[in-house]
Amino acid sequence: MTAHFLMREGLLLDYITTRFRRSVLKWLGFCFLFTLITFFYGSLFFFSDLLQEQADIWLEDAPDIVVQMQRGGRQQEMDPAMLETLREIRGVADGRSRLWGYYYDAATRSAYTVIAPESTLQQGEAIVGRGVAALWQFSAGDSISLEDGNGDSMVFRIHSVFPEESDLVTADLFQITPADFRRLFQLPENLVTDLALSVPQPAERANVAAKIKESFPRSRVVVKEDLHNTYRMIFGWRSAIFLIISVVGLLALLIFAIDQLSGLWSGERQEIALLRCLGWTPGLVIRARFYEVGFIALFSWLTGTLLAWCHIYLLGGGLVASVLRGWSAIFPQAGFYPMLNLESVGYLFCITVVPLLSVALIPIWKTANIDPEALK
Amino acid sequence: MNRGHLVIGLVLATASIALLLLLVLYGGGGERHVTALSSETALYVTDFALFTEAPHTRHPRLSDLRTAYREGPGALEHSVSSLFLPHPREQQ
Repeated sequence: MTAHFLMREGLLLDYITTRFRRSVLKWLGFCFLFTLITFFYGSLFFFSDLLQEQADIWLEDAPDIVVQMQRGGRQQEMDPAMLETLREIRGVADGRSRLWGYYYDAATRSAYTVIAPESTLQQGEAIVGRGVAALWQFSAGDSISLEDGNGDSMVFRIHSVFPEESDLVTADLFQITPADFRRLFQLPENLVTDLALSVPQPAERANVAAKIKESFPRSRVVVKEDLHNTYRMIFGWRSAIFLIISVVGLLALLIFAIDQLSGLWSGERQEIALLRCLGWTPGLVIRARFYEVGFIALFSWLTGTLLAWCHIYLLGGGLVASVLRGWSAIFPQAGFYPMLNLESVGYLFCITVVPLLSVALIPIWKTANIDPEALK
Repeated sequence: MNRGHLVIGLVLATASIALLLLLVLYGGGGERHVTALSSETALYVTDFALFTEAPHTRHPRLSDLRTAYREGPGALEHSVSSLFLPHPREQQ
């Protein structure tokens, strides 16, 4: 029984290889197009997976709650004395003031994010991100001159460069001492950029945020979960234009596939009629087609997935990056650590294999069930 | 189907299964890097340095909410990366 089954399937495969040989170009074209589709969506899915995973790693130590002050819809520097009031709210374990801002460097036409945490840095020293270092082509020990609020130049000696593995979050950072920060941006002693609160219990964060908003109506309160969600939603349904364009492309390909694979043109119908006359059951005709299209779909899916994976994790996602990069001069070059999210691989399977099989099988199933006499 | 077909098929199947396995093993395993930033610096790491061209793309949640889309929420922006970023919704 098994031997009989195996022999019949072997003969089916033989029949399929002759069909492949008969129209090599058509099948190669299909493989190419669907590999391309899988590669395209795969690159996006894998990049989005990477961001989510990296967000979990790097944004873990971000403040639980950030409190900013606004006036007229613009963010404003605030008085750190407010911290005393905020610390008294139940659930708040600790609070720090933060000093940060942007420095636009006209020479390199790029903006750095200048931060000033308490650290062991000496006045006149700076730690810079790899993106900034690459832009100026300097390393630890070199000096860089920035212009302060009065137009005078301030010279910083590069103490060190942020480690390579943190490139995704530190590429454009420029860390200096709080005193240097105040001088660089002409910020008075009694003002800070915003406040960072530590609320260890995630369940309490929404309550604390609501209380702060109630006590300080001019404030804007950002909870850590929102920061995470921003990157969870990246490439999500929000990027509508992008998706619409890509879905239109996918639809065009499917229509092409329907046209080519539906087997409704006369040659294909004749072949099916011939097979039916030779004694093939409709089941056998469908199975032959299933093997044929299944092989092409699986091959394209596998190749596309592999190529996309290599593109993102081994080659640093060059194509996605060039789209993402936009007009920014600094872009992280490292930090693309290999991982595999099976969920994304599953989605890719649904995008390539499932539609291709259904497009090919449903019309064939209809044709194969017709009486061969009617197909003459 | 002759022997040659079988050999080619088997080689292809083995190669693809091996590649998939390699992907799963290489991708799933391996030691994750430890945080290389001091806790003070980490307090400032709230966003990725992916889109550095404008404040509202560098820090989507922490920059001025109204400046980015002030010509109306439907206004087309000049910044490509805004296309990929979710809309900053204000906290209640």
